[in-house]
Amino acid sequence: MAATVTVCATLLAPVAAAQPVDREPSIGPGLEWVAHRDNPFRQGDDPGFINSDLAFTGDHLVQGNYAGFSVWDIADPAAPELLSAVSCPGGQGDVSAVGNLVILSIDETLSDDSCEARRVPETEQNWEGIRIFDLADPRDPQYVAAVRTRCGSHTHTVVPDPASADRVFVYVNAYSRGASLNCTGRNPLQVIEVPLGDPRRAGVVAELDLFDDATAFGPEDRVAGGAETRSTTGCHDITAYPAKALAVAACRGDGLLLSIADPLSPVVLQRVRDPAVTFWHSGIFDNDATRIVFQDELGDGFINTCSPAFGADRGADTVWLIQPDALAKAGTFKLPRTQSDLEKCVAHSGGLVPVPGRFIVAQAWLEGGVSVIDFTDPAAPVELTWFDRPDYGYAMDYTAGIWSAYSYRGYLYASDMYEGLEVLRLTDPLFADAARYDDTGLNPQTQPAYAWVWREAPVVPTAEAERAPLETLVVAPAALEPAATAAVSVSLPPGSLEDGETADVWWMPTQAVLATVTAGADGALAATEVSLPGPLEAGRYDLVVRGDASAPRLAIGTVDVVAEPRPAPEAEAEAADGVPWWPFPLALGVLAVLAASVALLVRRRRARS
Amino acid sequence: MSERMPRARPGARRSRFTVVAVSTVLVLTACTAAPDDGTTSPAFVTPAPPGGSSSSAGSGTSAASDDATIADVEFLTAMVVHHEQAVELARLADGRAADEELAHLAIGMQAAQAAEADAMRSWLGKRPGGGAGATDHGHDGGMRGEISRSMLDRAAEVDGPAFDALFLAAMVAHHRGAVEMAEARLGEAGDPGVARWARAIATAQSLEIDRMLEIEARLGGVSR
Repeated sequence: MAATVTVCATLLAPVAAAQPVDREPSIGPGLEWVAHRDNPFRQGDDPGFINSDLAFTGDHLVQGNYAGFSVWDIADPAAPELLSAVSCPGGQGDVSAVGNLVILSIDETLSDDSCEARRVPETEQNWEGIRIFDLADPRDPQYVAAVRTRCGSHTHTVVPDPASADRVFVYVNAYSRGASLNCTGRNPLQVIEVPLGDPRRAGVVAELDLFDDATAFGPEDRVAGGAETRSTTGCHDITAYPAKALAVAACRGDGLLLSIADPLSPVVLQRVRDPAVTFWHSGIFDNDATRIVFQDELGDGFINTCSPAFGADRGADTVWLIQPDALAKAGTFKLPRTQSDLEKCVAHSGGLVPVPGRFIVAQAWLEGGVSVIDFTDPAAPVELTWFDRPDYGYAMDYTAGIWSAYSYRGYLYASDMYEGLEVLRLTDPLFADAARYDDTGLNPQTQPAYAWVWREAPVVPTAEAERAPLETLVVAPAALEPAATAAVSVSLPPGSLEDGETADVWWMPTQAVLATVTAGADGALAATEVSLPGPLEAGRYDLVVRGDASAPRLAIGTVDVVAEPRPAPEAEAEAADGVPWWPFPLALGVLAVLAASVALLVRRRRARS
Repeated sequence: MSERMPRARPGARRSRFTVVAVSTVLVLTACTAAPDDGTTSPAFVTPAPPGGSSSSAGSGTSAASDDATIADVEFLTAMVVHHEQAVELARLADGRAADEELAHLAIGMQAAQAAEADAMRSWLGKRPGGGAGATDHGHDGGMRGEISRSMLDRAAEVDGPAFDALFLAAMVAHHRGAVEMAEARLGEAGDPGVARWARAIATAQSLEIDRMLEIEARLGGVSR
């Protein structure tokens, strides 16, 4: 804890350092607070400038805001650098990043689609929908497209096209909000196509209602003694899991499991309701897609539901098992730390922390902070650690606190509506694999399938034809004498690995990792000395280098351990090289015979003459 | 009240709440200005609109007008009082209500409306004109479905089915009033945050009305 305080004191900007001492967060075990950055848009307590969700692309973090979005360079997670704060108002700024494109949700009625637009009443002519920006120069993002939607976009979800890498689909999630010019009744799911090469051509390509009057939750569906569940007038959020062709939709009164095998025609696989749930807000799959955690946003984020007055199963997380013909509720989790009634607290957005064999989630609870929760045993979820600021000493308007928290490249990034950006690190060895995960980008509502290639030893092909092209690893020296142990150096030429990826050097006789290395920017592996475990007996042994990103590709090298080497006679050495020895004595013999013949002839001539 | 908003910028705040003739330009300046931390201001950019986009919708001139703020303050001032009445009645249900579902519903109403009223008081406390006497603008405060003092006194003196009937009659009318107040606010321009709040109130209280009508029907009361 002392170390944490020191780190924070040096990283906090002057403005943040001036905060009252009692705003210092409570931080749970195994969690390090590595960086804080103020919300660049903040205007005191004005709720028109609060941060919302996060998206990641390479070294860039995009943070949505009701007044636009921020772009942070997080190449060094402990020192995020603000590259730009794009002023383009319109809540709630739900955000995704696809390569260089940033997609932003606008769910407030505006006078037009420009960044100078004013907010207008819902009953007037208005614009709301999706904005698309080009981040090619992250210090000067360009506004490239605006797509008007029926009911704005409260959130959205990027769904890749399984048939083409040249475009993505965007599911627009929104629901009607009462008195409105355009946004009434039950809002259908609208699908936008974004051509990545020419995002200016983005537009709505499909529209479908996931419900009908019988399946949409209505006032008559409420259960006595249950929650004041909201009517289903559209979906609040969708989380897609493209590798499994699944998605989970949280639609106010209903939860849905969808097949997105054809992203333009999602099919409802399961429908689920729960008398304890007021507002189906969002959902998260486990990595195997066998379980889902749903969040219930009781009270719209405007009040503190994390108090005994609301109970342990309201405004909570619920865990559901995906079974062949139903979703089965298996457990409930509520933030265990009671919050002050000056705080807003309820289950909010989060994502998977990739730990093999476990179902661990990092999730925001507004002013309840960030909670890291282990759902591996769904009947008994447990909070592993937390980050939680105390109240402001007074209540913020509407909503406040941490909107969402996600794991990216081994760090947790938390978006605080007023305070800004918090970067946290899980220090327990349990998270070693999560820390090693080198994401190239992440839209948390488009769940990646995590694979931990480095945990299994590589399999070296035995067929010579398969093996030969892989023998690119340079081992020096390549021949050794039998010994208790030995050191060799391994290296790979440029282009062998992905740029900057993490790779392991494996010693195949014992299937042990000798070193974990980082590829150069040119994809080379600089000469790295490794110690071979002995005893080394005569034989030929394999070393393998495998990169996390370039796997399953391998680079194989060999070490020859040669028993009792002795100085060899020259002939034998040549023989060993495959040059025949017999021509030399033969030549000598032939020469001797020739010489004898010549001598005989000369003698005979002399006798004749 | 300024000590309750340590990081607020009173100047910017005032510009949004000045009652008469603040130009739209000044309001927009306050909304898009860089924050007080100078180290981040150079990073601010405002992109041009996308090429060929149709930026055509209403004039939007009423979005930032000064009446809007008055509408917000009046709505929330009235709603605080309105919520307090509901909390007071709901609190009486403990030990008096005969119907279990009604007793349960009352506990939820009490918790939610007390929390909302606190939040609204806090909002009002931070705004000029949002303190005591905020409704003294000569406007109609817009209170509908009020629960009178005599009604509360009567509720305190009965229990069992009599209490349930009285509770349902008063609270349904009260909630209907709240929905009307919220819808009236949504029909006017104002702070989009207050609009979101009004929407939430209208939705939550409509649901509770439906619930109470169900209970009333089950108890054999008159269906309205």
